[in-house]
Amino acid sequence: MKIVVLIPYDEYRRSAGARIRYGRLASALKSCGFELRLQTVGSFLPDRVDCDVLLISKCHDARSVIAAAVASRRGILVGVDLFDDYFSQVGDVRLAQYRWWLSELLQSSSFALSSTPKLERVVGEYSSNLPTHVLNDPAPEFSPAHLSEVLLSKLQKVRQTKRMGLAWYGMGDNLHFSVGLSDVAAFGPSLASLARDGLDVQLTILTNARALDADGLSRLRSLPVPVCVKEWSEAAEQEVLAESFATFIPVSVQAFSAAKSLNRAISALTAGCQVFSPGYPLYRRLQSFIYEAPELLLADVASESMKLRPETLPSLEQHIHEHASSETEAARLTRFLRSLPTRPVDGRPTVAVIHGRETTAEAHAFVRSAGGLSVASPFCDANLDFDVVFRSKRDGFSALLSKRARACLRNTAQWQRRRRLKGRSYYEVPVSPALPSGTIKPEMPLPMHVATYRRVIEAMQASMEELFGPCQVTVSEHSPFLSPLLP
Amino acid sequence: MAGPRKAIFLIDLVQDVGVLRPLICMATRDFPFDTHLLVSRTFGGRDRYGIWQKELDLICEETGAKQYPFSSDWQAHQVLDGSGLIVAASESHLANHSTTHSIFRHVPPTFLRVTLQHGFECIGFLHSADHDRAHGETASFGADIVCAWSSLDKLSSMARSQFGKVHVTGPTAVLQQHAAPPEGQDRSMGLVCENLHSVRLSGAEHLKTEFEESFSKFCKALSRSGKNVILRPHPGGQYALKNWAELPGNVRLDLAPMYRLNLKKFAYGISGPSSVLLDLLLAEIPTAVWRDQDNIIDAANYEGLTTVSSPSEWLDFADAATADPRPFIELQRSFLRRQKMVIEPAEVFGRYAELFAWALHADLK
Repeated sequence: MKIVVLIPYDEYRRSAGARIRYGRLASALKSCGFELRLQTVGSFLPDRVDCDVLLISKCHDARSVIAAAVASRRGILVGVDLFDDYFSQVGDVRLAQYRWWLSELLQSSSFALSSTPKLERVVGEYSSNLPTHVLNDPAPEFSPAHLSEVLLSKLQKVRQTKRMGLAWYGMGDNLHFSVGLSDVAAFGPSLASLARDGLDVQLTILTNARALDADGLSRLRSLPVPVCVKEWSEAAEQEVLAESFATFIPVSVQAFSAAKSLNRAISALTAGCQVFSPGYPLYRRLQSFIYEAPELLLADVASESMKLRPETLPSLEQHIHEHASSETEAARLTRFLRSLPTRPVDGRPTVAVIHGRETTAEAHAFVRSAGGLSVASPFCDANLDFDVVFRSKRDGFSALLSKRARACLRNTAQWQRRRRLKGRSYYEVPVSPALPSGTIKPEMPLPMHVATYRRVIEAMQASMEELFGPCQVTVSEHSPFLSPLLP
Repeated sequence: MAGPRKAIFLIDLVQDVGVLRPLICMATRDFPFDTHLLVSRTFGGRDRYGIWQKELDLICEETGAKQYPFSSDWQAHQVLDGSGLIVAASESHLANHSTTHSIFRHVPPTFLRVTLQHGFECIGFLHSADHDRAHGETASFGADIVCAWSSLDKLSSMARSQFGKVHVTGPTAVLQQHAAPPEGQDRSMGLVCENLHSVRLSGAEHLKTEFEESFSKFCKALSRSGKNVILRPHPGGQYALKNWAELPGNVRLDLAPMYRLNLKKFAYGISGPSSVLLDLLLAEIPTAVWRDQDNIIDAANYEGLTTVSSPSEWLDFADAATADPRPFIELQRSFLRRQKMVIEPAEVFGRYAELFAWALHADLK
């Protein structure tokens, strides 16, 4: 069976998510008879792709929704892979676009994967009878014999030199949540307890460059231990984990953080690092290896009995086998995928994208190349050769149809008058659904768009059905203030 | 083993070069600091003619200091390892100073952060009415220490929350003054300084025109007696260069840094309310403050100095100053005494040296 993972852009292949979640799984899947490859959404042709399973990974825009609709019509099993929680915060209007995207995508989905049980429950809130499966992040390869030597060596070094190297690594910032370096600063005072009794503690921070602006860097200033900051790379992470005695992985209680996988702790443990994780007990499944209080870590250094030590490696291996083994995860995933009912091939309905106030040329090109219709709403001012342009008037809407769209009309006898718009020829047809009174134009102030958005989008969706028959219509909207979900 | 203590100087505005230059020399010549100049990317954009970059290159050549350009906080941060002191000539919470302020926010606690007063009227130290209108009545600093020119009671715009940071040092300009020119050298030329870009003249374009017209008529009158004038635009604003169509024939532009210009060779100096007036006063040449005819521009902080408005007043001042500078000098000395400003070079040197010595030996963490 062939699995295509749809990714947002080429750089994504080198991200931790793609590398850990798909890179480590690929060869184990191959042993189970499944071939996995990644493809960027920009070059994806859903009406021509040769695959059995299409897995959507963080492509948070209309293109993936269209890809899912077209692929599922062809009988391909479509699923979404969630490993970040942008979907459970129903009170946060900033994230409405994510919630809209997921609810649209699930309409064409046969299944959903998630990295944690928490995220699996989030999917359940959107679609209670959609088959779901928890796909744990696989651990890196490691040798217990080598790890045993590393653990002994690191402990001896700390006891002899009285120096303890700590590491924090990961994404230092997030566009929507205070995480990363914010967590380091918030839980930083707990490090003060480590740096006592003559122990010289140094923290190495390894993170993305975007997080290292004045705000991010200033958060580190108040830490009670000396800090060395480096820009993250895979090689740098391996080097820092090899040198560090322990990792400092504080976790806040917000939904986004509490839904994260075991991946960072597993990476630390398999590199021979103790894990000090104050805050939310994210790593409870690895409880026997996690320090939640600095005093316990110090006590174990003094008694030379660390939670992660040669004697506990068999237990670590067992945990990894249960929660982070690429072979186990590949076997479970393939069993799950084979259990899914096949999807019937369906020639209908038409797919279409309605473009909102802020859209992209990429969404327009994508839906056209997938054989669908590109539709401009009255909020949209983009200068693109749309198939359908809705224009509002005082007494209602009219739809301007391109020659291409005209050929898809359900009722070709509908009255059509020729029009020109931005140098392009269209045929005007009246549409009947009730609309908010008053004309809506792209250049209107944002608050007026906010006030009318949802009703206008719903009216256009109804109009599309009236004109073209059953339609799978989604919305391409990148304005943070507008969403069909918002009242 | 820890390396030598660092002295880091932030260069963002072109004016920073002149203010920091004496301290860069001190850090390398008189103290064993490992000295670095962190130069912002926007500095290059402001340095229209490359004058100030040449100065930085010369400073580095003369002192052994190293330059590091930076275009992001992360780039700057990577130079901020170790310990020592970091000095900014223009820093505050205001948007204009965001580059240096941001660095002060994240520099490690092993560095002592120092902000200098860079002008007589200076944000957070002493404001004009226009500063208050544009920026508010006070400002706060990311620095641990702010080096002021005068005692705290003369810093009417210092926020109470910042009082504890004040260390009175005097202006760095007195550490790089020229000697008086030899007797017999021609001292008939006048110097006019222009700062028409200033916030004082925001929204008052007619005042800029008034200055330009007065200057033009003044120069024409001087040319009838064969006299010349040096015009010095403010290095940061350079309003005359950017906006005036032409200069009178007896005017020569001077764009060199102030410390390269021996002010003592001039018969007199005229400027609108601006910190350059202090440079003229410290050089002990007759100095007049230009006021607009309607007294719209606030010059309250310069009360007690000679003022000129109309072209005839400019001319009368120039003639009187050339004929006998002594009454003007006396008036100006009295003004300086009232400011309670530290201006003796040895005293200023000693106060900065005290700060440097502390930064060299303190247990910074």
